[in-house]
Amino acid sequence: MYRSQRLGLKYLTASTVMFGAMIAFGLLSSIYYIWPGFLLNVFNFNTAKIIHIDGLVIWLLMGFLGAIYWFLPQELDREVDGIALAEILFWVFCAAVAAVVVVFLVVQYGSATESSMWFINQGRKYVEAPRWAALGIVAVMGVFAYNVIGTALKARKSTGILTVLIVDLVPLVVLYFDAFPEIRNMSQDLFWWWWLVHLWVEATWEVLIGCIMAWALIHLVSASRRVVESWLYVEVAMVLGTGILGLGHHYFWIGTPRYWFAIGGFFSALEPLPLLGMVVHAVYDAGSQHLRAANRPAFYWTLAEAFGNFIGGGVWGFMMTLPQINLYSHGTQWTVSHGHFAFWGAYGCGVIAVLYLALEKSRGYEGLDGRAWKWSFALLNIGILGMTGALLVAGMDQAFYERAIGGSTWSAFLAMQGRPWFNEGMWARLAFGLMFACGYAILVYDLLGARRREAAVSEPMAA
Amino acid sequence: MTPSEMLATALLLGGFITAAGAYGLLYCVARILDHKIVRAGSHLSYAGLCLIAFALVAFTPLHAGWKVLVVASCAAYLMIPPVTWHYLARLHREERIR
Amino acid sequence: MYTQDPSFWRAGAIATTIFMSIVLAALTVDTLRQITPGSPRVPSYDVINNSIAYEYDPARAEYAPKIGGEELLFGHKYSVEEAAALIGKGKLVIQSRACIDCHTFFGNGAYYAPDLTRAWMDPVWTHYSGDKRGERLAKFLMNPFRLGARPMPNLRIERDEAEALVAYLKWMSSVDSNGFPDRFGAASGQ
Repeated sequence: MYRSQRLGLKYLTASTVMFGAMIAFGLLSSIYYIWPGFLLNVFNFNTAKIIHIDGLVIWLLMGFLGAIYWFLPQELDREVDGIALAEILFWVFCAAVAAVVVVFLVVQYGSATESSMWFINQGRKYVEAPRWAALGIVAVMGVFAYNVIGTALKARKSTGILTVLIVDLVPLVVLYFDAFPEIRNMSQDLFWWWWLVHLWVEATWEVLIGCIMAWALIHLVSASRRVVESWLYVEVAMVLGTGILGLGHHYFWIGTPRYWFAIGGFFSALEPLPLLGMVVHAVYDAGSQHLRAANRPAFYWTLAEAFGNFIGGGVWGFMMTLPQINLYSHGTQWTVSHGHFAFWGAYGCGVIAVLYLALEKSRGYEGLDGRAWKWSFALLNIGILGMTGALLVAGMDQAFYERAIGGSTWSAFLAMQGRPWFNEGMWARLAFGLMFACGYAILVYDLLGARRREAAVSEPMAA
Repeated sequence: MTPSEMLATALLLGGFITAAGAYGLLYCVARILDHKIVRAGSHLSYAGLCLIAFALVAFTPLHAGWKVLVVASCAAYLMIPPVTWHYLARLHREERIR
Repeated sequence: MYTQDPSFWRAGAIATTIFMSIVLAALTVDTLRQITPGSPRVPSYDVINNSIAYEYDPARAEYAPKIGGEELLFGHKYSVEEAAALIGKGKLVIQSRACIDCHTFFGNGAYYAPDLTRAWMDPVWTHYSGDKRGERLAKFLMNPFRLGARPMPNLRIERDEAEALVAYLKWMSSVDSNGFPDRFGAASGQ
């Protein structure tokens, strides 16, 4: 195994741990909704939520880094350039995350000063981590980009997939610089903030996971490189063709001009088209493999990725994206429903597929199967579906009563939070969240290989 | 737009993409399994898509531009599964020849 | 057939990305200009010296902010620079307390607490006018009393921070958000 692949395994392990932390703080956050005054002034909702959503970003980012450090040396048949530095930065990254979480837990807030921004909490969603930590992330990403580009340069070659990845890394890293400024004008703040969030999760991250899935398919079902590369170009063209101006669907209500209604709504409405193409591609691959692959969990999680992305991003997104609807669905639990399902389908499933692929190859197994992964697969996916459904009911109720009828005043909001369907939705969300957590526990158990994988050894290609 | 119209329209829009997805999925499965019922299912899904599009155009207060987009999307979603499938099949076929 | 050639799609991906990015860049330049304080959409920071309402505008067929005559905040007439400094501090308060992780601003943020876009003219406060409203809001922020089933925590907001935050909320309520939130206050008969 290359050193880079060992580092990849470390990142994938850290990613799995952060996944668990995200779930723990997600469960915690959901309790506040059903228990008024829970931990008031001891540990408020916003701190729990911060760790939940930042945990989401970190576990996925670490998953991406892990996947790329895993695949890269095999792609170029050489060790990754600057790997020693990357190994150090991994521990720096983990230490920084730990330090940031401890400060969130213990200090929580600072006063309205620059030093709070540098050392405690920047208070902008997803990028609340203080500036010193944001600098740390820039360093990690910078070294990562150097690893990727430097290796290609030293090898004096690149592949189609790698070139797409390298080109994608540039905007991905540059966009992160929005994690630093403190912008007085809220319209302008949100304008740039959405460049970071949307052009990450609906553009550069889509390309990134596309590259990772391309590599995964090559290693999983021996897909032809030319085929996956051709498909990757199609995907990139369609995702960026719709996603770059689809950014405008976040510019309806933040004070920006009205032409964003037409531009954002139109391109956003086109975003499901490439996602349908990905579903077709996934079914095609599944069919040509007769639904079999040596590494069954990785295969099924890859399928889940295509479907989850389409339903969570495409179906849910299309429900909400047209301005006339969005006026009422904006900033409600409906948004939460979409967010959970879309992130899961577009990225969560993909990272888990890579976890299983890396597990198989790193243990030297010929294929992977068993019972545990099926339980985990079922509980995680039914869990997320249940959470999504619960939040959809609560969110539609909220859009109807708080936004459309109540006019979004404080009293309309507070009245809404007491409504029966809303409350039942919050309880159901917690219940399915617990189911999701069980699925996670079994995933970890499976990945740790607590039981000898007899099935993997004795059950190769055929059913 | 009344609150009820808002919810109904949103559900129709979600159903629209769901029908597109069902059509895409069943189209592909029909090509793999060559099964009469699955193929009928794909046709039914597409019919459902058109029905939902009709409802969106005829019964919802969406502005005209969005209704045009919905109708145009119907055509686009019709083409995506077969075009994508043929493209992938041809890619794989050429690859086998190489 | 050229569509079978991967190079066609690679060229397509590159061309599409470049084209869309250029359009985005151009729109960004225009949008940033239109949301600069002092523009028609985003008032100058010294709007906090005026009365601000949010009403249904028949000409636009949507709710819109309405800026009226002089209605001072905290008994002080702020110059543009003073208002900008005060509101800048207000933004630091919002960030240091991570308000956006419970509340929404223009509908963006977290959904545990109410949207604050029009908090300045929320029916809870509008029976206080002008200066009194600012005072009541500041007092609330320094020591939140329970308004309903969802209590707001005490975030150790000092007097000067509270004034800055109130100024921020007042300025923000004057921004043209294309009618979000709709029907504000309509249900309570405002």
